[in-house]
Amino acid sequence: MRIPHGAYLLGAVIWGLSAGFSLPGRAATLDVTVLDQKGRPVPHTVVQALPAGGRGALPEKPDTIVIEQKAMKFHPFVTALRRGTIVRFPNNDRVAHHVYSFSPAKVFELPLYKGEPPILVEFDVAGPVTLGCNIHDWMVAYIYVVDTPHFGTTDAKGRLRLTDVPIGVYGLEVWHPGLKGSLKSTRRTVDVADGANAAEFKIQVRAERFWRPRPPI
Amino acid sequence: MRFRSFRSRILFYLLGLVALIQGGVLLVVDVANSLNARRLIDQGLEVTARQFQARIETRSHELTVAARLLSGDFAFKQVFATGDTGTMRSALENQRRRIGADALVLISADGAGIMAHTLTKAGGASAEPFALLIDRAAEADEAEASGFVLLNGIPFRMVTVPLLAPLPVAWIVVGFQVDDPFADALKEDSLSEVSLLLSDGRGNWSDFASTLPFELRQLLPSALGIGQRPLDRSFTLELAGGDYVTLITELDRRDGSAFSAVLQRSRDEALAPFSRLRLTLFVLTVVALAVSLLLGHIIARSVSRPVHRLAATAEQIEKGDYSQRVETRQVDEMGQLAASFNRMAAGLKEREFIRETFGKYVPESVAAAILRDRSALAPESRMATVLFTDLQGFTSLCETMAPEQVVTLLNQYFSLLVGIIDRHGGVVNQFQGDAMLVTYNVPVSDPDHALSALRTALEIERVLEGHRFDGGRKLVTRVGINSGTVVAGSVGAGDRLSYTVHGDTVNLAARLEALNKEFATRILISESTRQLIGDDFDLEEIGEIPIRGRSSPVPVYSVPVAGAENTKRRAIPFP
Repeated sequence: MRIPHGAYLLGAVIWGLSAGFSLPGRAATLDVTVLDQKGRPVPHTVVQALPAGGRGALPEKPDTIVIEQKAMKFHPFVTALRRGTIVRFPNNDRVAHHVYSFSPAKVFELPLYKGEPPILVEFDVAGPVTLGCNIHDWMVAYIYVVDTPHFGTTDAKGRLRLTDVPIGVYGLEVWHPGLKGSLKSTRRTVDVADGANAAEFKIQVRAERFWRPRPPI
Repeated sequence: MRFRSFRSRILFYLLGLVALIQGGVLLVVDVANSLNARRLIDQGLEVTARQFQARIETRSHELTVAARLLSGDFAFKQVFATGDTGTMRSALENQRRRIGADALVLISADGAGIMAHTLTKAGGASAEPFALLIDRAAEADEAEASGFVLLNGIPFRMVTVPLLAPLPVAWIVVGFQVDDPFADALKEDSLSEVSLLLSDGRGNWSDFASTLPFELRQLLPSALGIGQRPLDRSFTLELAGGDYVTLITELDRRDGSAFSAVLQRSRDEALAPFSRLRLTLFVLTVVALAVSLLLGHIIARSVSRPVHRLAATAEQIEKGDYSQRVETRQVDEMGQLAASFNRMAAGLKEREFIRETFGKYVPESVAAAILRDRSALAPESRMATVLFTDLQGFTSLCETMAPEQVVTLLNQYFSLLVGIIDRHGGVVNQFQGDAMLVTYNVPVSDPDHALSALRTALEIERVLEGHRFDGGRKLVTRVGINSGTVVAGSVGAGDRLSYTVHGDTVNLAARLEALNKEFATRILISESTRQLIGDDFDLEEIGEIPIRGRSSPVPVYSVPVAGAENTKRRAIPFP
């Protein structure tokens, strides 16, 4: 059967419209730059945009991400993840590690193991989590559990691009392991308009030794 | 300065010298001792201060290490994570006992509050006492610090390390109490008194621990409060009448308050061995002075005694006892003085003897000869020439002159004659009024005695011819000379001895002298004398006289004198 051109056009319109209907309003991009008190770009900064209207619903199927132990270090160093995400901690080193956290957002421990962890860990409370290894004092990493789908971590240049951000008013907060001051103190309200948006944060960051112990040579 | 005796003079100077020297030594030693003792004390205190610091450092380090281990202790992290105060406290107490600390405190990461502690009483109410410690640790690279903390008035030495989970989540504070036992242990090592005090910078001190006895410990805070006290430099502090060399070393400072260790040593105790030395020196001084006294006395005596004896003997001699001598065994100057004195006394005695024996007019040579050979005075019979002189017209002189004038004239006359007699070696044996008896060859030998006698007579005549006495008076002497054996010697009794001559020879000489009146001659000599004088003289035989023992008379000769009435013979030039 020959489908008329109009059908394709209609189909496209409908598809377009439906696509438009699946999002609450139109989407935009938000470019965030984070600088420290000396004007230097700050990587590893978690940026989250909380919709004014509330939090987004949790995804139905939780994601699983990996934070590995390799070369006596956690990789990645800072991980931002959505509340409800499950994390797998494989030990890819030749020695055993004992992963733990006493952070209020998640207290857990993976007693000495090699290779696959004994359990998977679900992060169901928002907030920062500091990871350590019980037998290797310098092994430290951070997880930041956010409660919004709009988040990310700045790159080496201190930049983050948030895409598909619905137009609207958002509260922007940033978090860094060495952040001086409370999270709330970084809060900014940003009106995300159609198209490209930008926001710049200037935060006070402590010296690296306070949040990233140096491994032995 | 005038001294009444040689002894007091010597003693004064000797004792003075000894006292001066010993006093000087005492003074020097005293000063040196004091300085030395002070230096030793200072050194001792400095060492103590360093030991104290070292002890604290060591103990702190031990606790720091223990605290670090606790900070990495997984079980403890889990305890902390529970947030349960009771659990935390019990775990802290457990750990405290494990490491032997006196206190273990857990403080919140911001230093604001105490989360758990092992302290008794309400000592753990506020985190304020820990503020300084926490601040220090927060600023330090290693996030560790140590210092002194005052809890309820009790001082603790505390260290703090962060509790890592894995990053700092709280502060673990571990400490030991700085109290009397701690100070006592230090005192045992260092022998110094140790006190620990807090000062508020305004002169108020309060003490926490001390090894001082109770009374002194009470006095110390107020004693320190007076005036500005130097740090790390010793000074003297008086406590209950005793002097203490004191060193203050600051252990910790907080605002204006300072936590200090006060180290002390009793100066009296430190000086004790030196005071023994001083006592010894003092005793030595006393002994030295005593010895000097004795010595001075002995030396003085060795001078004053002989001198006294000398003076006493001189007194005896003054009274007329020329036989006194000074006895001495000394050979030094005193001995020489005694010897000289004795010689002088002997000389005096001899002169006295001669004076007594011969009267005043003994020629030096004669006296010397006699003194040389006393045997010359022994009685003997000897060949001698005797010369008699007599003053012409003496009696009428006496009538015409006043007695004083007569005596004066006589003395002048005798002086003149005696001078001449002396020159010819004659010895005046006697003065009889205006007459003189002179002997030649006795007591002093003279081989040409007869010639000497004649020469004497001639010179007497000559001199008297030309000499005018007072008032222009001219005197004339008659002389009689005879030679023969005489008996010469001392006659008399006891002290009154005199040397005289006896015998016919003497009598004849006297007769001859008297004969001058008859013959109007000046000098008459006997045959025996003529035989002895040789042929050089022009003599005139003018008569004979009988003498005892001779059957026939013997001739008598006149010796002409120029200017005198002579007999027929012309004058002979004087020899």
